[in-house]
This record gives sequence, C-alpha cells and structure tokens, in this order.
Amino acid sequence: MSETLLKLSGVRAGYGVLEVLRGIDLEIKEGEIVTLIGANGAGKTTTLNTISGLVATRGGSIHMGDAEISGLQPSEIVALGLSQSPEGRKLFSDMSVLENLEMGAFLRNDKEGIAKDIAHVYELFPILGERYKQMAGSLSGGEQQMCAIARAIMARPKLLLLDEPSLGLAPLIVKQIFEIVKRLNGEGTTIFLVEQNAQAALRLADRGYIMETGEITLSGPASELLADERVRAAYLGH
Amino acid sequence: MSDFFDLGVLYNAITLGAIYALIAVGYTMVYGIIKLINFAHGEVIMLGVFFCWLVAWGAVGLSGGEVAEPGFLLQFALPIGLIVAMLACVLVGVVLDFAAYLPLRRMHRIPDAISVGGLVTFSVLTIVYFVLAKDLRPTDAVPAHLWVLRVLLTITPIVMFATAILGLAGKTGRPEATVASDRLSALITAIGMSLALQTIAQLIWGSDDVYFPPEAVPGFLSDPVPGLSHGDDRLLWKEFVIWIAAVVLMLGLNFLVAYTKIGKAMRACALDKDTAALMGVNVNQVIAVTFMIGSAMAAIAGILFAIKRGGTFNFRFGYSPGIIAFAAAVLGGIGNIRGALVGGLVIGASQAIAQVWAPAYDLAFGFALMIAVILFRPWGLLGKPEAKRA
Ligand SMILES: Nc1ncnc2c1ncn2[C@@H]1O[C@H](COP(=O)(O)OP(=O)(O)OP(=O)(O)O)[C@@H](O)[C@H]1O
Ligand SMILES: [Mg+2]
Repeated sequence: MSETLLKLSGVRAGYGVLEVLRGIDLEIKEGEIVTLIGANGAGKTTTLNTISGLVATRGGSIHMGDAEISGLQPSEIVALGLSQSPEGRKLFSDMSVLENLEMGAFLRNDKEGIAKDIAHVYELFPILGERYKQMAGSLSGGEQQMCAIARAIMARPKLLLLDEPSLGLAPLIVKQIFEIVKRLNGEGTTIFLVEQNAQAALRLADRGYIMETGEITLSGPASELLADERVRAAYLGH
Repeated sequence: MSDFFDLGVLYNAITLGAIYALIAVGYTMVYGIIKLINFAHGEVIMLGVFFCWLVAWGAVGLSGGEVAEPGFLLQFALPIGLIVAMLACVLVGVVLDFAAYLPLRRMHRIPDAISVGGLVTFSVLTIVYFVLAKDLRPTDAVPAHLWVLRVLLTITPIVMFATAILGLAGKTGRPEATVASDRLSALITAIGMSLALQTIAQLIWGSDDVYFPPEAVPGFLSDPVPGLSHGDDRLLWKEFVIWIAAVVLMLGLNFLVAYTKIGKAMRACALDKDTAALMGVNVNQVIAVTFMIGSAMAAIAGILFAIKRGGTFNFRFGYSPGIIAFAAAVLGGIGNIRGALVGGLVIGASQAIAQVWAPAYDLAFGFALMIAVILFRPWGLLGKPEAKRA
C-alpha cells in the first residue's frame, strides 16, 4: 500500500523560452488517489505531459518505481504501466468507439485479455457498448469523456493520469465519472487526478497538491486541504 | 465525339490514372501524418527505375548474351528487378526520412549527428568521387583511392540505415526533446532532397537517356490482351499489368489501413500524433513505415510506367509523374488514401482525353482541373476541411 509508484523531484519543464514547471516535487504511492489542483495556466497539464514524456524535462528527475523515466519515449512510458486520459478527451474522432478502445490497448498482445477488458469497460460504461460502432467524434461530451477514460484503462495501467475529466460536463455526469474513478481505484489502479473542480476532487482523493504558476505551494491529506482557509478562499469559493 | 468515348481513351485514362494513384498514395500518406509534402517522392520513383534497370542489365550480363534462348535469369529479370527496386526504395525512403526529416522533428544528439553528418558526408563523397573519376573510362583499371571512395559511398547509407533502424527501435539513447517540425523548414528540406537525389543520380548514371535491355523485357508485354482489344483500341499487357498492380496494391493498402494494428496506428497518428503517443504508439516508427509503403509503391508504379513508355528514361524521370501525382493527391484531398485513387483517375482521364484533343496541352488540363477543384473545395474531392482543434 505504501510503495512509491511515481516520484517527481525538482522537475523543470517548459515550451521554448517559456519556463512552466519550476521545480516540482510530488509523490504518488501505490493504491492512492492523488489530486493536483490549480488555476488555469498553472501548469497542471504540462505536469502530466511531462510525466507522460510528451514534454521534455529540463531538470530534475521522474521515477516510476526504481526506473528513471524522464527522457523515455512516450510509448516506453506507457509500456511501464502509465497511461493518460488527456485534457479535452482527444479521442480519435474519425475512428469508432471500439477502435479507440483498441488504440488504448495498443501495446498489448493478449487478445483474450483485451476482449475481456473491453467487456469490462462496457460494463463500467454501458453507453459505450451501445455505441461501439459509432465514430467517436459524434459522441456527446459526456460520452466522449467516458470513452477517453475507458481508452486509457484499456492499457491496464498501474497508474492512471486523468486531466480534468469533469470539464464541461453536467453535475450528474461528473458524479458518475467520479464514482467510476473510485471504482477503478478500488480495483487496484492508482489515480493521479488533475481537476478544476477542487471540491469534488478533494472529496474523492486521499491526498492533494495545490499548484500555482509552476510550483507546488501546498500539499497534504485531502481532508486537511478541504478545511484549509487558503484553499477554501482560492479554490472552493468560500 | 467518337474520338472521345472510344475504348482506347478509356484504357489510356485508366492506365495513367492507376500509375498516378499508386504514386499519389505516397504523397498523401506522408502528408496525412507529418503534414509534409515530400517533394523527393518523385526521385524515389526515379531511383526505383534505375535499380530495376541495373538488375535487368546485370541479368543480361550474367546470361552472357544468350539472347536467342533466354534463360531463367533473363526471363525473370524484370520481376526480380521489381522486387529488388522495391526493397531498395524502402531503404531509400527510410534513410530519407531519417537523414532529412527526422532531425527536424526530434532533438536527439547522437543519431541526429549521424544522420545529418552522414547526409553531408555522402553528398561530399559523391561529388569528390565523380570529380576524381571524371576521366576514367569503363575499361580502365580502377585506382585504389577510388575503390576506397566506393566503399565509403556504400558504407555511409548503410550506417545511416542501421542507425535509423536502431533509433526507431529505441536503442540509441534518449531524445533530448521531441518537437513538431516547422512545416516550412521541412518543405524546403524536401525540395533540397529532391534536387540532391536528382543530382546524385545524374552524377552516377549521367544525363543521357538510358534504356532497359530489350531482351530482358518479355515480349508478351507489348501484345494486346485478347478480349479487351478491338481493332485500333488495344489494351497491351504492359498496361493491363499496371491495372492489376494498382487494384492489388490499393486493395492491400486499404486492408492494411483499415484492419491491421499498424494501419490503426497510422490513422491515429494522422488524427493526433501526441495522443497516439499516449496510447503507446512509437510515432517515428509509424512515420518510417509510411515512408516505406509509399516508396515501395512508387517503385512499382515508376518501373511499370517506364516499361509502358518504351523503357527509356533518365535522371529526371521521376519529376513529371511525381508532380502530376502530387496534383492528383491534392485534387482528391491530400491525406486521404481513397482521394489519391480518385484524384489519380481524374487526372489520368483528363490527360487521356487531352491527348486526343490537344496533345501539347495534355498536362495543362489536369492542372487546370486541380486548380478549379481546389478553388471550390480547398480540401479536395474526398478530403475534409481541417477540423478546428481545441
Ligand atoms: N504547447 C504549448 N506551447 C507553448 N506554451 C504552452 C503550451 N502548452 C501550454 N503552454 C503554456 O504553459 C502554461 C501552463 O499551461 P498548462 O496547460 O500546463 O496549464 P493548466 O494548469 O493545465 O491550465 P488549465 O487549467 O487551463 O488546463 C500556460 O501559460 C500555457 O500558455
Ligand atoms: Mg490543463
């Protein structure tokens, strides 16, 4: 339960001359749900993409278990058991729901296991089973988000990165999605959740990190953050 | 009127269309994934024809002039040459991507240095070789320093190819950064590669027309296909072979893209490379495979086209079919494989009709048609307007 799964130490990253992450330290232990909260442009998505290998680090290190993963190709990082459901869903719009799910399992070769996981995903998100032939681009926003999460878990990740899964969704759908995240966690997947919806995220998570302009300014158990005056003022609207 | 709709024109239209479609696929697949118009694609065609031509003459040489009773080697010189040329063009395609385009997409010090360095070394060595060998006649003994250069000229691309393969397998170290290449730099690089490959071919094989050894070209290819030929409207076997090749290759490609894992990865990369990478797709590998497929198809199309045109060609051979097929790809909707087929057939048809009406302007019709189409549908016949990205 307390093995460290992912550890960022002093990670710096950016785009061109723009320095976005200015020395990020954070740690995710096996079995946890950890959330990262911050204002628009704080660098949350950049953090996830740096972990996934889409953005190169400029300093610091990222360890997954004992392996240093900064500098690996994104595909190699996926192979180590880390997958991401990116911000804005980023489904392959001209591919069917089923093909999107198959893309999620791209590195796997166990046909039977994949078929089983597809069935499992249809059980988690029945609507995807009904729409499996439909082009992903023609799904509704909520369905797309479900498809994006489903696609990410098709990799059978140890660690699942979720970038704003509640973005633009009705409260009822958000609730559904968060319940599924909880269920996935119960089934053994460690979750790193980036959210704008601080209230819901902190209720769900074990621990949280607060990010401001590329730095972690606060961290701790989710319940403490929920009660923290500064967090309440800045992110919970009290 | 009757000139128009006669079978001969139809046959010619299909033949030309098939060739342009096979070439256009190479442009369109590469564009679909890296948004690059690979102007060097025409030169891959040309190199393919030269590779096949080398094999054909080699077979003639090995057969010791036994033309009266052509042996096995001579009978199969062309199919063997076709396969060799396909494989060699696959290599050319990968080296091209690796040496010229990949360094623009990726910061990866050691392999990038090898690829760019290898390219420069190869070009300089080629020039040095031909300056030194200028006065050498075929009958002279080759001096030692030229042998050294020949060996180096062979080793350089092989080392580059090996590094490319290792790099794609992720065995040559970690990239310092993965970057999306600037489109303009990539385009200019492509034009540069096109000129460089033409120049190298010119240095090696000269500027004059060369021809396929007639004894290596099976005679039946110039016979009409029975049943499909009526009077003057004849369909020759060498044209019919082009039809068959086009149907088989296009169906094969369609199957590959629609149903196989690599095909899905190609479609995913065309839609969104970053997200494809998040799924575990090695994007550079997919791009390399795309270059391989396009180059192999270009080699086949080029060789069949050269045979159809009587077997004579030179270092500029790839330019014209290349640019027409490019127009076909744009007309059909660049990035769309079926669009390449439709565009190829439309341009082929316009050229075939124009050859009856106003032969001097046969190409102008095709290009005018392309311009007319993209005026009203900038995304081409089967393409889609570029989706606005969130
Ligand atoms: N591809 C990019 N190129 C250049 N700058 C970028 C790029 N992506 C993000 N940025 C910049 O980096 C900063 C951090 O962006 P990031 O997307 O990480 O923020 P975020 O915390 O995820 O914000 P949001 O809550 O709005 O999603 C922003 O100032 C943004 O403009
Ligand atoms: Mg974000």
